[in-house]
Amino acid sequence: MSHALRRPNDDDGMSEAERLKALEKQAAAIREQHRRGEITADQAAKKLNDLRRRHISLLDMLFS
Amino acid sequence: MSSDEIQRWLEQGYGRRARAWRGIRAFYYNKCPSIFRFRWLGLTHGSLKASLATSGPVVAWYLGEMSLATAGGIGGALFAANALVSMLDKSSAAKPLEGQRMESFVRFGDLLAALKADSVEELDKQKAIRACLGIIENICLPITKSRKGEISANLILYRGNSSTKMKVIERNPGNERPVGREVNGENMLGHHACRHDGLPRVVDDLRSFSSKWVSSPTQSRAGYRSIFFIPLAQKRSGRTVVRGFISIDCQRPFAFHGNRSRDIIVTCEPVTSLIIDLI
Repeated sequence: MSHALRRPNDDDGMSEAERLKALEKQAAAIREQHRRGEITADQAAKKLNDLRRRHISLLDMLFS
Repeated sequence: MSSDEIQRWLEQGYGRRARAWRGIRAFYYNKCPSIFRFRWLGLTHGSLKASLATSGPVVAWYLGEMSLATAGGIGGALFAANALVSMLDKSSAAKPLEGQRMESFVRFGDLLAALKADSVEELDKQKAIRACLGIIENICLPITKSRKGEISANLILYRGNSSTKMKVIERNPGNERPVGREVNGENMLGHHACRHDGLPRVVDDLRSFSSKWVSSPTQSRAGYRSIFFIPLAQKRSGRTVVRGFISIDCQRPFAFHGNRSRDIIVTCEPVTSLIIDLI
């Protein structure tokens, strides 16, 4: 795969596709933590909400 | 072999200017229609609010206390300030159910995890997949601010051991587009996303691609403009195999732009996980 054309969209150096996959994996990890009883449903919901909003832009915040 | 436009989409090789232009288009398609959508009640409400805000200078002009030019200037400024405050009122309104909404999805994920896919009878799997696609559709509706019928969720899998032949397995309930048809993956953007690296990808506007990609793989006219592909990978004999993908499409371009696709992939994760177990 050529990386010459890849341009990261954000400061974390990930492409948007990589970021989406990373978010999916993190969401699965939070759900698994909750399933094992390591965190409460409330904590899991808070972590998932943070995950959803982590990469939100100013335009998204104003107009979503 | 992928064409240059497909390669550019897969590599996300868009320059700074192209990305800025996409942002402007996303704003236009996602926000302007709701700002300018004509509604009688909205027109009456807006006119009354504007009349009240500008009534002071109008009365002053009527009583001869102010010249027409001064009253017009002050009235215009009050009108603009009123419009700005109304817009900020709307965008800053608290969303009190946000936390509870996500907690209900956590509970829902618990339920789905408890229902082992193995326990579902073979005949019921198709129904379970359709229900899952219906759930995905309903999660996407508020996130993309779409109306019922504008969003379609579909499951497309590789047929047997083929690496190009695909089949539309199921669609969300109420979707009348054909299912069960075999299609050539080479003509599908989702297939190229699966073969490239199997990562989720968004097509902001299908019409930015050449006409070959604008027609639907089931030979019907593509009524959608934006698509979100979520490849489905399974572990088999120690290696990861991409079995196909979920495609979520919308009639409106840029429906999955920016944070929307991120919100969808986080919220839908328990459902996509169950679909992977069911296939």
